[in-house]
Formats: sequence, C-alpha cells, structure tokens
Amino acid sequence: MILLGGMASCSGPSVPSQFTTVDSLPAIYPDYIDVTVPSNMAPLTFMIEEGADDLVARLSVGEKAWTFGSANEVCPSPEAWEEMKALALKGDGSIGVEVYAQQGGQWTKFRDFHFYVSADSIDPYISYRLISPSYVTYEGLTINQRCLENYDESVIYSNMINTTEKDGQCINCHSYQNYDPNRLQFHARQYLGGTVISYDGHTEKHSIGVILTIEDNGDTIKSGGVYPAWHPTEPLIAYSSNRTGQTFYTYDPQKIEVQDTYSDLILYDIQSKKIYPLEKDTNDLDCFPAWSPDGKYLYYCSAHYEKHDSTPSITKEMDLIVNYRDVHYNLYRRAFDLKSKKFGPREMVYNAEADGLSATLPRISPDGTLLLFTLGKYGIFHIWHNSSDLCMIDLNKTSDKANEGDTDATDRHACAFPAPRPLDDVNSPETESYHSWSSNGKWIIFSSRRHDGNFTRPFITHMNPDGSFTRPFELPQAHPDYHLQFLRSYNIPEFMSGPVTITPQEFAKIIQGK
Amino acid sequence: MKNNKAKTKHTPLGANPVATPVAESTSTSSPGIMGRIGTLLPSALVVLTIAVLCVSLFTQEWEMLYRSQELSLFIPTQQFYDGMQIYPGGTLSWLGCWATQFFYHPQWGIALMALFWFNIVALMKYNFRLKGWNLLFSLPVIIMLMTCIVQTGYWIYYTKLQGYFFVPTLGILLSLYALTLYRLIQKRICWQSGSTAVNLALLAVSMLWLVVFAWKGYQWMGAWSFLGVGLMLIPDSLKDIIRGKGTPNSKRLMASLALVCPIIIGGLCLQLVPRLAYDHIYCQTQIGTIYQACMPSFQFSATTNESMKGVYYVLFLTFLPLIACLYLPIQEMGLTKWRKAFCRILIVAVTIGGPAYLMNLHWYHNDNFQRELVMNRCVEEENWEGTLEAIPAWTETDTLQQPSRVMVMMKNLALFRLGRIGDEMFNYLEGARDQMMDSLQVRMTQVGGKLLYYNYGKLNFCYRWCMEDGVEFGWKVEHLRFMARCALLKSEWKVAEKYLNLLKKTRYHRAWAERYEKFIGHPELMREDPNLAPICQLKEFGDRLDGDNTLVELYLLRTFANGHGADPIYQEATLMCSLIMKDIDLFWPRLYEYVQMHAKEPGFHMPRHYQEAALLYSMLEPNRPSIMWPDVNNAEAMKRFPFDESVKRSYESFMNFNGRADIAPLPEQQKRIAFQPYYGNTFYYFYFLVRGQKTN
Repeated sequence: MILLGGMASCSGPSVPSQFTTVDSLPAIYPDYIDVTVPSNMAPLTFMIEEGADDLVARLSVGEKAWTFGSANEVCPSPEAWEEMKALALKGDGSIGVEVYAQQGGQWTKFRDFHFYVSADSIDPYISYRLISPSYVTYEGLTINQRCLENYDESVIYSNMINTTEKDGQCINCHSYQNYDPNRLQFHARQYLGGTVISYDGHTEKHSIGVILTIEDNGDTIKSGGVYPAWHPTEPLIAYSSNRTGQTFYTYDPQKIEVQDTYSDLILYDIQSKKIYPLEKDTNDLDCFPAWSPDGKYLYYCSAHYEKHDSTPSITKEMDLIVNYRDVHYNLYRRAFDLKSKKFGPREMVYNAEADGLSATLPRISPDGTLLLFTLGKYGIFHIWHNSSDLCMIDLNKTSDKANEGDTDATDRHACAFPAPRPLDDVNSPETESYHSWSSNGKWIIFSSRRHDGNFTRPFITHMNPDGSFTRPFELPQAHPDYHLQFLRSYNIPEFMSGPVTITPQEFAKIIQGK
Repeated sequence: MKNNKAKTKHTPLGANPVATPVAESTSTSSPGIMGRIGTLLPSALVVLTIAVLCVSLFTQEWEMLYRSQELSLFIPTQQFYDGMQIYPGGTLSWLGCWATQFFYHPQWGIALMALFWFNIVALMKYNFRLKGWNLLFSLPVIIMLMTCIVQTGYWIYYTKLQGYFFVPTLGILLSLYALTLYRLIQKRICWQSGSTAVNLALLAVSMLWLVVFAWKGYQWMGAWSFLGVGLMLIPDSLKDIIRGKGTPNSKRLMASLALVCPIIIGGLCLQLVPRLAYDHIYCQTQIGTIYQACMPSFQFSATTNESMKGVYYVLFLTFLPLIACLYLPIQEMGLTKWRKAFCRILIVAVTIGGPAYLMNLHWYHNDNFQRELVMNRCVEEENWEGTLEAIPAWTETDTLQQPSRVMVMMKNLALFRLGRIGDEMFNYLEGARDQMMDSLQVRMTQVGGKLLYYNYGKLNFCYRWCMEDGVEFGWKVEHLRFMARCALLKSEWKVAEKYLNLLKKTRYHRAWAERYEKFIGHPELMREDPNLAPICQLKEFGDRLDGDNTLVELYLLRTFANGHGADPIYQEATLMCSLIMKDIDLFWPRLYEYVQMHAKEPGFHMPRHYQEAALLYSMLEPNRPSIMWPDVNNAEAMKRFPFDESVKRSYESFMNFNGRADIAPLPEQQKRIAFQPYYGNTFYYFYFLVRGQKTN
C-alpha cells in the first residue's frame, strides 16, 4: 500500500488514498495507451473494458495534474484538456496518465502511461457514412460529419429523408475536392437516384451515378459512376464504373465476398457534363481512382481476369464467384493531359499479383511522395478481408528492377517503384481498409475492424518524420462506451477543412429535383 | 346532486361545465341499495370490461405478447434513448419499448397495460366530465386500444414502429395528461368575477402550454400529440358563452377571445409544427410521413393494410362521443323507468357492444400463427417434445387445417434433434398453408428462418438475416441473442461479447447473456454443452460462397442434400434432406454413408422412412447398379437389404391399395384423402401424393 501526495490536482474526483499497485497496463477501451494526438483533438475518454465499479484517472503535465472519473469512465473536460495540451506542447508533448480502478471495494493502480500531443494539427472535420454491416438492406443510412475538435456530429444527408416504404434509396461515395466541404459529391441510388455535386455554391443532381452515354462514340457504359476521385484543381471527377455483386460465406467470419464483374474508369466534367472514357478492356477490372496532388497522374487498381471456364452456360459472374480467390488487383497510374483531357498509357506502380496479393484504394500523400494503399490476399472489397493491411510505397524512389515475374518490361507488368512496406505500427490482425491523408500530410485516418472484427471504426495515426507511424487511436467519443453500444460501421472516413453547410433538407430537395 | 347543482350554478364563464351527470341527476331521493348499485354500475362495467380485455389478452394472446418482447429491445442507456430521437415521436417509442419488455412475463405486461387503461379512463372522466353512465363512453377508446393489439398477427414481424404494442396507449395517455394540465390552467380563468389581467395572464399561460406541447409533444410523441392539441382546441365552455346572461359585453368579448385563441393557435400549431420540425430538426424523416410520425404504417414494401390503419382512425373517432358528452350530456331526468333502462342498454350497446364487435372483427384469428409462436418458443427453449405437441393430428380431410411450411420445418427440426427424424418424419400431416395476412406476404426469413438457420448450423445465414432485419425493422432481443450465439460458435469472441453486453443491460435477458458469456474463449465448453454441441457438429462442414435468395427451406434442403460430412449428425441431415427432396441420386450415397457410420453400433436399427425410401427406389429403378452393393443391381440388392417385414408389408399394401378398382381412377386430391388414414405416415405417400409444397 502506498499513500499518494505531492502534485496539486485541479478539482475532480479524488485519487484513492489506499490502493494496490499492479505492474501491468490497464485494459482500457478505447486503447489510448501511449497514443499521439493532434494539438486540436477532442479529449480522449476511456473506460476499463472489463468493467469497474469506480474509476479515477489523474492526468498530469509537469507539476500540474487533473483528476477525472465517474463510475467506469474517464471523460476529461474540454477546458482542462485544452489546458493540458497547451502545457504539454510547451514541454515534451507528453501527458502522464495514472489509472485507479475500484472493483469490489478494492482500488488498484495500474502502470502509468502517456498521451502524447503533437504540434501537428489535423483537419477539423471528417465525414463518413454510417451503415450497419448488413448486406442488402440499408434503412437509416447517413453521411455524417464530425468535428474532431469536439464531439459534435451532424448529418450531411440521410437516405431516409427521401425513402418511402415502397421505394428505398441508398447513398454512398461522399468525396471532396481538396478537403473543401463546398466542393463535394455523393451518390443517391435507386429511388430518385443521381449524383449530387456541389461546387462553389451551385448544387445539382447529375445523372453520372445512374447511366450515361459515353462521349465520342455514343457507346453506353455498363453502369453509372461509382467510386469518385476529384481532380485536385479542376471541375473533373474520375470515376470507376462498376457492376458489383455479393455472395455469402456459410461459415467464414468474413461473411461475404463483394466482387466486381465489370469495372472501368471514366472522367466526368461536371461543368460540361461530358464523359471521357479511359481504355476499355472487358477483361480488366479497373477501380478506385485517385489523383496525384498535382493532377498529372491518375492512380488506380486493376485486375486482369479472363473467364476460367469456357462452358457457355457459365457466365462470367458465376465464374468469378467460383474463382474469387484468383482475382488480384495491381496498382497502376496514367499520366493526364488537362488540355486534351486524355490519359497516357498505364504504368505499373505495384504488381501485387506477382506477390500473390491484391492491392486496392491507392491514395497519394498531399506532397505527392507517398502512396498509401490496402493490401489483401485477393479481391477488391478489402473491408471484408481480415487479411487486409495498410501498405506504403515511396514514390520518390525507383525500383532497381521490375518485380519478379514481370517478363515484358514494355507491358503492364513493368514496374518503376520500390516494393511496398506494410505499416506494421498501424496494422492489426483484423481488417484495415479505407484511408485518407490529412491535408498537411501528417495524419492518416483509416477504417479498422480491429476491436471486434465486425464493426468498422475510424482510427487516426501520426506519421513521424522518419516515415514510421505512432500507435493509432480510435475516434474519441463523449462517452467511451459509445462504440461498444453502436451497431453501425464507419465507412469512408474523409478529412474536411470545415463542415458542409448545406442542410440535409436542402440536399433532399435537390435530389427530388425541386 | 344538490352540491353539484350548486356548483353548476356558480360556474364562471370559461370554467366549469353545466353538464349534469346522468346518474346524479336522475334521483333526488336518497339512494337505496339498488340506487347505489345503479350509481356504481357504470364504474363496475368499466372495471369489468377492462378486466375481461386483460383476461382475453392473457388467455388468447399470451404467446404473441411474449413474442413481442423478443421482437423489441430496451436498453436503459442515454445512447439508446438518443438513438430513438432521430424521428419524431422517439420518446413515445422509447417508452413503448420500455413497457414492452414487461411482456417477458405477459401477466406483468398486461397489468401495466391495464394500469395505463384505467389511468386513461380516469383522465377522460375528468376532462370530459364523464359521470354516471356517461363514463361508459370512455370504453370505446379502451376497446379500440385493445383492437390495435389483437389485430397485429404477422405484422408483429414487420412493423417498424418500436414499442408498437404500447405506443397507442401511451400516446393517448400522455395526450390526456397534457390536456389535463391545459384544463387545469383554463379552469382558473373566471371572466365574470376574476381580474381581467389575471385572466389574460392565465389565458397566455394556457396558450403557452398549448404551443409548448404542440412543439415538444410532436418531438416526443409524433402524431399522437395532435390528439392532445386537437382536444385543447375544443372549448368546454361554449354553453357558458352562449348562456352567459347578465355578463357584461366586454367580459363576453374576452371570453369569446379565450375560445377563439386556442382554435387559432392550436390550428396553426397542428399545421406548422410538423413542417417546422422537419425543416429544423428531423433530417431523417420523409416529408410525406411527418403527419403520421410514430404511427404504425402497416406498410411493407409494396404491401399496405388499410384495414388495420382504419382501426387507428376509429380509435381517434371514439373521442367524438366523448366530446359530445361535453356539450350533450345524456339527460335521464324525466324519463320513465323503462326508457331509462332502454337508454342505459343503448349506452352499453354503443360503448361496449359495438366496439367489441369491431374488435372481434379485427382480431387476428389464425391457429397456425399461434402454433408457430408456440413452436418458436419451444425451439428456443430446446423443448423438442413441446415443439411436436404444438402440431395437432390433422388429416387430409381437414381441408382448411394444414401446417405452414415453417411449422413443418420446426417439426422436422425437433425430430432431427430428438434423433427420430428417420422414423417419424411423415407421422405428421404435410402442408404449406399460406402465411399471407391480407396482402402481406410473410417470408420465412422473417418468421422462423433465423431460428432454423441457427439450429442447422448455417450461422452466417442466421447472422445475416438478423443483421438485415435489424436494419430494416429495428434491433430486437431476438437478433442480439442469435448474433451472440452465432459469433460464439464461430469463435468471434469480441463481437459476441458486444452483443452479450448489450443483452446484459436489459431487464430480463441478463441471465441468458451471463449463461452464454461463460463460453467466450472456451470452444471446448460449447462442444460439451447439450444445446450447442449439435450446432458445433453441424457447422463444421461445407463453408462456401452461396446465397439463399430468401428461400430458407430450399436453401437448407439443397445445401444439406448436396453436402458431405463425416459427422453423424451432419450426415443424417444430408440423408434427411435428400429424402425430402425425393432425389434418388442423392439418396443412395447418403444412405450408404449412413449405414457405414451406424451399422456396427450395437442394437442398430435402420429407421423406417429410410427403409421405405430404399425399398421404393429399388422398385422404381430395379436395374440400376446398387450403390450399397456395387456388384449387383437394385433388384438383387433388395434381397440383401435387411428390410423390416412391416415395411415390406406396408409397401405391398400401398401398391395393392393403389391398384384397387375404386381407388386407381381417383384424382390425386381424392387419393390423398383416401390414402392418408392408412399410409399418410409412409414415405410412399409422401413420394407419390405430397407435391407442390411451395416454400417461401
């Protein structure tokens, strides 16, 4: 037993005078032990995951300390949190955390840990789609925005505002040009379907998300625009146009397999409403476009798949379902000429297939030097693959030789970039998937199912100067058990420089064509 | 009576009523025993009616009420409450969920309901000045509230209104409380004798309450608040204005203003509040539904049940007689004894008889629905004998009585888990009685499918439909229980813990969750648990990419019949399904595997239906090479197969019967009736005469 004394504490619950000390870290949820937070992040709240009758934490910076705790949760007040962050930044950036938990009348003090405050700030807002990890039903879908500096969350658009019992509506693929909430797009599908694009005060429903005739040859694309990528400066959006299906595992915890049976890339000019097709090859499944920050390259992933079974009655869809593990996506890029709106030949960026893997969701850092992507064993929809991890390629470096297995340096398998490195500091045994860079390139936010393998939560990590990453931390909530009770997943977390100011009701009217 | 008269005489304008209660106005002489009985009779009738309703609920809808709490969820956390506030009426729905949980013990839920109903009667009595026999005019409301419950039927699976069973009752109760407060304020207004300033202040306060209730009430109670606001619009002092003889004109003007104000303000509130709330608060509500918020829509996909919605319209219409009581109280004074009696009988007929008739008309009577509820509960309780007992010994002659497919499947599941499927599968009448309820096409994915998937080890499909239905119809205890068990059986410990922790927060499912909590991280305990062990055995085989297209039965039959597994339980499922599918090619190898697995067991006896199928198929394809004995064909193999003599005899008898001159020419439907008493329990009967068992 020890008696506490010493540092002055601001008002709050008192630290117990008698307790047992254990030499282990507390099992807190969310796991914020030794995490690094941006200077403008909302307070980190936590609880003892196994439960505690009472909980007290003393947070300290230098000589100053604050105590918090009530029942089984520690929720620092915003004022105190701001003060301790400011003090920490004057020093080494660390906030000491002592945790005392009471169970059955007995207090236990765990090993101390720290929060680290980085001087690097983070974009004040993120947006994401909230969706139950369901399969074909989608009541109560919302695209939400959340202020990272506090816990304020609001709905950008909800499908229910335009859903009737007869006619349902799905919404997806919110995207912004250069983090600008005034330049956004999202799709509404099925009932009153279309793509809502807002550009500098003008908001309109476009039909790109539904079905269109391609420029020049009058050919009809097989599906509407799906996964978007805003050109960083111009009113252009690159889309992949996908036909997607899903099948169900009978036992596997991964539960479903989502596959594209067709996908191509197109470029859409939101002002002229013209569509410019990229190369069409029915055996190439092109997906997830992403621009380089200078707008000179379009990165994307692509899988070459030819039907295995030549039996006429076996459709390509059926063939893909049977051979789903044989679909491997590589990373490519194409140079883009803004004047002619033409793309150059594709260049291999990473030959994942040669490694027996599948790479998706390329995203380039704001300085254009790093390519972050998701790597799994097979397939496109890595959110359902627990093998998927985040990996990075340094675009400033070049490969000494093409990847093994590339026999023809002139074709798609030629690769000029070094092999990727997995982000071991960030990855977990469960799924890591969709990711975004902060506008200053210091932070990434990504989707992970690390906590329970089923529900996706956003995690944030800081990139150190040496390219390593700090321990990721889960998006903090006002009450730490929020995500434990929450039965929806966070989908496509994207940074924004501010909030979207158009109301859901206004979006609803636009979608209704009013 | 004298007191009452005195009170009435001095009633100020805009305050107390002139209504003269029937019972008290009829007699000036001191009441004898009969008089007292006469006075108490209306109250007794109210109590009796509510008691009868409660007993009816308990005796006839016990299973549905119990099921309702499984198809609901209440978690006492702020987050759960906040989650329900995204739609107007969230608080009412939340209260409905809170109350629904008490149906875990249906008698407690019913008692709570009765408490609310008595409370409603008391508030109606106060607000509509129901005295004497007028009190009975409160009963149509109660009976229609009961009708809202008993008409539910299969909509219990499809309603998206959380707290469905209690929402109407609580909606009316809270509206009446709001009305009561409004009336209490208004009754303090006395234009004749009070100060104008005070009266105006009271009027302002009452109008403020009206506006506050209209605004907050809509948020808390959705469209149910319209009832409260609507009732506030109705002046209870019109006669005072009209009859206000001797009142100065200025006061009469003020009193008129007091009457007009609520009508204008309340009317505006009714019109504007939903629209304002939509514009500024509710961004997840379709504008076309803002005036029906927190009301059951009885819509699912393209199906709408207008008749069930009609009950709610009638419920609101039952307030019209109450309003009439304010202005047109039934006066018995001066009536002869017989006319008085006639009048009372008429009141009873109108207030009890009529609504009761309507209730009975809308009461969802469907034996299969009730039996499905019983079987569902028995399966959940692993009470397999109880599951079988729920199916009566129907015959083909009972043309209107046959089981639904989900009943047949639950029966087969029970037999399978009891190890008697091979002997008793066809002892029960087969059937596919439609589960349609008006135009609502009930699907097995919502009714029974999850239970079947879980018990047959198709864990991802069970999990999937829980998730789909949770999204579509709202989260329910049943979903969390299945999802927790599926996660446990697949060793997804953390997500299992998530669902169990949510269940541990509930009032009545904590013990269940704690029972299953012990399996977290301990698959070996699950393999030893009598309830989980069979599912462990079934789940181990045949992981593949698949889809059920919402056809539960077909999917189970197809996947098991085509499956291969070394486990005896799994293997028998493959044999059982190949038998039900009448697939000869699949049957033989599965029978062979079955024999290989069990033949050496001491006391082994080949189940009767498997023998019947082997015998029939051998006769149908005698020249086909035998799978059991590859060196001979089926005809030869039959001689080696140890058929029971009784099986051989029944086959011969079946064929002879079929060949009889009076039977052979019969059409198939009549053959079914003729054969069923003798051969209805054989595979031959099933093979030849049971067809078109369409599943959904």
